Amino acid sequence: MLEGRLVDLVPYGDRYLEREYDWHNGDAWFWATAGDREIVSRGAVKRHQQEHAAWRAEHPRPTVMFGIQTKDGKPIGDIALGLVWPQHRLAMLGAGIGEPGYTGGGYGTDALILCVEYAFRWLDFHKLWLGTMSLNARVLRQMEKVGFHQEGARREAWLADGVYYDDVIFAVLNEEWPGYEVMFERAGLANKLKGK
Amino acid sequence: MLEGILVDLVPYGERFYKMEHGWYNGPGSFFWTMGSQWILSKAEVDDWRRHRADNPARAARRIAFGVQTKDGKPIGQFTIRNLDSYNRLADLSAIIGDPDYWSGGYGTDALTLLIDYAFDWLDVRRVWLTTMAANPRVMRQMEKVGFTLEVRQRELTVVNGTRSDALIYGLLREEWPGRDTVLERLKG
Repeated sequence: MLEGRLVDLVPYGDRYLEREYDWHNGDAWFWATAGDREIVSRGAVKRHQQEHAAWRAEHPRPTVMFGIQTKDGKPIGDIALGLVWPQHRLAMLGAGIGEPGYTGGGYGTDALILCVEYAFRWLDFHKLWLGTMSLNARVLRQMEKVGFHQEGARREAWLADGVYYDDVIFAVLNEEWPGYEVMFERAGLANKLKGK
Repeated sequence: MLEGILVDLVPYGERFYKMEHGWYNGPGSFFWTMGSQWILSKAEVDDWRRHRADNPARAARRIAFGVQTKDGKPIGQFTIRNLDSYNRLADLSAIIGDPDYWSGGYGTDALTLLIDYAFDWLDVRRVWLTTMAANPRVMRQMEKVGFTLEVRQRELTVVNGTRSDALIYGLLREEWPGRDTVLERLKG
């Protein structure tokens, strides 16, 4: 377990798979997928999970995926290091807060900086990056708070509710990362914690 | 077949698969992979080909063309690596495996054929690709053809011992005057 102050990161196990039906059909997934509106049955979610597990068993990948849970153990989302390129010590961050009511409270940011800390200080990655659609004002603000650099934007790459939005690319290098403790203060999470 | 001036784009079949071992171990793959130094046996190349074939989801999104000279000699592979039909994007990947055919206009002929195909037949709105800053030939080509440099990904890959930036280039449909116009412009 990676222990934060607002959340902990734990293995992405059955407790999380059980939540996927609600999360995927919910509003949160619009943001997590950059503009998809999934309408999926329980059967389809289950089938996808089984197929995915079978495929992964045969085609292992160095992806690292965590469940995000509150300090009292409630699963609220996921965060992962995907597209891992070991020889370049590079990975893409992907995350979603699926549980309604847990956006804006600092939970996602605490999970993010825990995951970045783990990637840099334990796995010795050189660079982490992510893309978000330009409609996603919450993530754009979050990126500014945690000191990621905007490296550009892939123009008109996401269709969301009938409009094309840019895919804004953010990244942080290992040598730019001040560490979890410093970032917890800088990103304003100490105040969020006090307010709870 | 997509007919060009110096090259044609044809289905990527057996004649091209036979060239892969040479291409992947040659100087072209260094640029194609953004700086890897591949040393692959024939068995590994075959394994990889099978691995690609048995992923039906990936195969459905992928459109591979062989590039051949007008007298039918296979010289490279130009591919839509990921046709994203929801967002209507095409992600391109290209290698001229035989260095004798670099800088002679073969790659640009193939590229403009592929762009026309993506916009006019697949009806995508955007084509894009990634290259590394250590590849000035492709950077010049992108500018010539009219792509926009959209993202500079700092220190993305390790190339021959040093970190290299990666560059994402994009081209929107309304920016593309068509292959004939672009080729006319390049002549002048």
